[in-house]
Amino acid sequence: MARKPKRDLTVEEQLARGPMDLPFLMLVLLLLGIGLIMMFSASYATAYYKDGDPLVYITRQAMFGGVGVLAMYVVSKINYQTFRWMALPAMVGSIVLLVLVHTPLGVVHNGARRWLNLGIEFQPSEFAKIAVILFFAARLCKRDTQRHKRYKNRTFFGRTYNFFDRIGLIELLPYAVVLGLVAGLVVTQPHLSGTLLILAGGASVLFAAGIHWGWFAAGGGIVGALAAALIYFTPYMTARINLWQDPWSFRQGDGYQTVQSLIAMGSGGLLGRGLGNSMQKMLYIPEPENDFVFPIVVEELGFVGGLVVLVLFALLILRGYWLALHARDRFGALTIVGIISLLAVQVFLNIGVVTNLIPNTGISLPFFSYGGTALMIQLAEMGMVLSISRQIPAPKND
Amino acid sequence: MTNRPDRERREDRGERRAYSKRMVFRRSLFLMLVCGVGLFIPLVIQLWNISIRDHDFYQQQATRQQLMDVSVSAHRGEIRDANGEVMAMSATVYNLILAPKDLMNSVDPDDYTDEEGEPDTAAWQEAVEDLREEIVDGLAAIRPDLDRESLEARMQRENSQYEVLLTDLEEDEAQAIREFIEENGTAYYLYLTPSTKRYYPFGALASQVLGFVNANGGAYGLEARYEDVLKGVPGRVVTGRTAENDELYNSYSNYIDAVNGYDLTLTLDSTIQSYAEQILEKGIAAYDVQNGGFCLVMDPNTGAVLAMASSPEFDPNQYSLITDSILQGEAQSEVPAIYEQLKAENAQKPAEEQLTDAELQEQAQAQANAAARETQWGNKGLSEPYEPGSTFKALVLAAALEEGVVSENDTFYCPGYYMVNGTRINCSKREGHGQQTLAQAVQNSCNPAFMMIGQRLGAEKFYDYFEAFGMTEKTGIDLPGEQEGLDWGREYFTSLEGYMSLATASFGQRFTVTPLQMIRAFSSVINGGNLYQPYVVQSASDASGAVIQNTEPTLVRQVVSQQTSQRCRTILETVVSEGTGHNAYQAGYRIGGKTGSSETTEKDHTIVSFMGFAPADDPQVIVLLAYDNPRPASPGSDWSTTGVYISGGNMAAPMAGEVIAQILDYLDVEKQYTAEESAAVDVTTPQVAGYTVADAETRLEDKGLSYRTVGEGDVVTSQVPAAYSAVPGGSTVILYLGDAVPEETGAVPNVVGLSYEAAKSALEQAGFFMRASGTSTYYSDASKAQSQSVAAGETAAIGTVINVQFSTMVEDGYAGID
Repeated sequence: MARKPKRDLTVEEQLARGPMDLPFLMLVLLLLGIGLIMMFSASYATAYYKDGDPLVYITRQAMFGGVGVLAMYVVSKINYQTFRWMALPAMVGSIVLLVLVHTPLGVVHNGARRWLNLGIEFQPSEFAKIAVILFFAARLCKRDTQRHKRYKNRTFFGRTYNFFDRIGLIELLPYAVVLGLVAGLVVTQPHLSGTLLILAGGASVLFAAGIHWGWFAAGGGIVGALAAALIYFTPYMTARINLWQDPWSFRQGDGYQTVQSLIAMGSGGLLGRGLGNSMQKMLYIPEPENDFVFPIVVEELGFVGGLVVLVLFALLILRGYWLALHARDRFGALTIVGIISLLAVQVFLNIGVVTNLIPNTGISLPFFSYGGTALMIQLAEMGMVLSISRQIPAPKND
Repeated sequence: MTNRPDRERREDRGERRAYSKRMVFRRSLFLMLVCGVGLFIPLVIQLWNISIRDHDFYQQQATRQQLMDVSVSAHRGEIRDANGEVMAMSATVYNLILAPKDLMNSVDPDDYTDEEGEPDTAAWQEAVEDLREEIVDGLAAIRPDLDRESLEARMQRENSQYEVLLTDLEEDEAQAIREFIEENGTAYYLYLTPSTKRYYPFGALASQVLGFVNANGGAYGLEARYEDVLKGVPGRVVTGRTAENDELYNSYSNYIDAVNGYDLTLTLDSTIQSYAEQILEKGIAAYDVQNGGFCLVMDPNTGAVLAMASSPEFDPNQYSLITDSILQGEAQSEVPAIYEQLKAENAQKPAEEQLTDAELQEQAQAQANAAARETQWGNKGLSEPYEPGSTFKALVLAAALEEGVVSENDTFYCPGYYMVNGTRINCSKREGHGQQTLAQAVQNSCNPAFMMIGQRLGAEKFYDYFEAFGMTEKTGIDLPGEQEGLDWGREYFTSLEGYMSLATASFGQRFTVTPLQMIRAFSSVINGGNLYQPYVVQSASDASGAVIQNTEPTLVRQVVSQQTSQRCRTILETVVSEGTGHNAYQAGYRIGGKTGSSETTEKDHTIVSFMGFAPADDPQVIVLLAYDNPRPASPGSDWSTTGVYISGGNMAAPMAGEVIAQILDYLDVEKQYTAEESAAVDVTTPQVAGYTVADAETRLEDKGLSYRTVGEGDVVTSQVPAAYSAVPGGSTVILYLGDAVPEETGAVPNVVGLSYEAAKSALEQAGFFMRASGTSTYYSDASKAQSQSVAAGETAAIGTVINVQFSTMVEDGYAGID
């Protein structure tokens, strides 16, 4: 398709050709670069001792990283308004894929049915995350224009409906159904961490769109109570909590991974052992290339290195929200909020786990952990943010 | 949030949109703060806590699991004698290890199945058995002395992974086993591990001085005393390791080289040591000595120990083995008593703890052997105090001369006894020595004379000299196990109860000191008055030969003056030339010394000793030789079972004289003959055959030889001994005249028990020559031949020089309080 000259463009199209947000792009590329280097370092020993080739992980990851950057660029070029209509098919598609996981097309690894084999193997839940965010954002941005159906207060039904409408339950219902469906499909894989992220992404969009505080308070309360009951009544969860409280008592057993992670970070000290000099990656930390890249970062680059990574993530997140605040429309804003909140929660859960701040959930660190599809989708999401950033009107005084 | 009525009023679409937009803005801002800042605060705090606050703890945890620490053994230093001969060295040996469990695992059960493919346990068991058999056979071929039964039993230990089959394999055996392992591919469960072994090339020589090494390092002797110097510092290889124990050679690797132990060079001379040990052996056999003995040889001018022999001895290569036959017999004789005692104790125990008779017997044997081992490991020279006896008189003499209480001109009358506070103390010569000078009193070893000298010194002064001569302190020699010696305190000695002690101490009785204290004190008497700290190790050096530490003689104090020492030497020399010590006489060497016989508190248990030094005018070497407990012929007898009078002068002196001569020869000390000695020195016979008798006579007289003729004629036709052979001066050459032809050989007559003249003529009559030794040129009738080099009745070539050892009966036996 030949590129149209500027004069033929609509206002929309012209806007979509605006400059993308360079600080955000730089932060993404910086984190990606550091992430690849550290993943390489973390995976080196495992790759060498277990796979016989120290480059086996980094080659794959770098390849996906390259493709991901390309995807990010392509996505950023797309006028994000097209995402509005794509949201619904994406949502439906994701649900179909999630259902397919539970059919014989699904692939089981380590007792979890999370993968779908359609020529290539991938996790539909990764798509579901972004689909939920887009779908919610696309619907919620039209919230103010939605007509509220009114019933007469005379009938019981009418009274009840009006009451529910007034407190916002009617509005919330479709979201709850969709979110419940997706979460239900994911949690039964089982994929607890994926469910958690989908819920967090959806909730952040709902929250930003202005859904009443009370619903979040109520939701949080119910989840909290459920979790407490679960912890209290199921031995498995109780053990998990005990493990979290005192991993040293289980250092030869289930606490091993946490203890090794703590030793890695603790032995790093202020400045670390130096890039590539981690000892804990020498088969002490199981699969350091996955969820436990960050401990290797701290071991090799010290507290300072870990802090730099955290600050970069924080800056990326702040910049993301800044873009949301300045987005041209609410759809853009809500989409960014969803994507960035998802990212933030993922970073928090991962680093919270490796530092034993929270119990182990098994969430990977964006840009750092090994995993091709995840990285590609992550970068594509960043591409969406960049795409939205293009349409931010330039400041008046500029 | 605003409430519903407000919202309802806002009908205007634009207003609603603006409101909604503000809402999104506010909520996003809130999320921005929570996610962008709020979430990171606990993360940073936690990170700080882990990597900064608790860094030390985690660092320690990390080090503990990440490092591999392998120690590298250091080579133990060698011990060399004064001439650099290696007396102790370490070498690599091998232990053979078997893993019976792995042996079984090496036979794959899958290879042994029956027709249906089911595992055939019996066949597999048989295959394992065959393999075991094969290995036992292979090892037995290499080591025929192998205990097959125990080997087979250990192979059966199916759960064991570590059975040490053989230890201390030397290189050639290890090589054979290595080949066996390679040929049969048994490396999986049969392998060699290196280890070190201590070798003592001289065997039992100086065993108590060297000591030995057991599993914990040096256990006795120098090996124990110089453990720190010899053992070196083991090195370490510290490397990183993976969780699966693979070594990682990276920047955390640390190599600390092993520092090999230093080599010791001793003052001990293996040749002199062997002389000392041989003389001990000889004397023990000659006098039927029951408790062994000791022989110390020292350089009196420095305190350097040249030899330190102690009998019974042991072989440090097999230090637990009791090799001495006397000791073995003794241990064996102890067994029944121990057994009886154990049996009595056993009877006290509850029934279930009681041992069987066989077990008790075994235990008794083990205890007796353990005691015997302790005995053979002990160094008598410094760990067994003894009564010095008359040898101590030399010290009393020196003290008295130094204090000026006696002089050479004093005379002492000996009636055969001396009364101390109403108690009669006898002299060894019961009839008394009569009037004697100081020198004679020493020569006679006269007890009453010395008691008088002791009285003159007084208890305080006497005790001062005990202290000055180092009798109340350890000598400080660099060997472990040294005893204090004297257990008399000054309080006691100078008190009224100690009055008798002064009398007995004057002739060296009723107190004990260590032989080392005694020889060092005696050295100070003759070396100019200097008391030195004895030492055995001359230097420590590293492998390149660089000396790390060198021992200089340590002067402890000057005890007596140069002049006093000089006077003592003169008097002590006469002890050998004219007195009780003259059995120690060796022609050509001026030997000084003092005999000693000390009766212990045990009945019929005498320690006979001799302290000798030479040359008397400039002592180079001092020897203390003692035999512990020669067996009396009958209870209470003064004669040994071998027919020698039990006393230092009759037993220790001749042996000491012999060993001193050997040492001086070895040290190349020039002989100095007196006029009489020169006459007896070997001369070379001139050629006289073919000469007339008159010419022959002149030629022989030039050499100090006499002659007798056999046959008729004027011309000497042949001579015995042949021309240019060595015979002692004064011998009678046989000249054959006319047709007379000398016999080729003849039977050697018996001369043992004859006097000097009688022996000489008896031998010469038979056509032999006599070379006398063992006593001074002044051969009194009391001098009797003790032994002859060719036994009586043996056939020897005519003209052979027969060595005859003379000894003189001396009366220096123990005498004390009746």
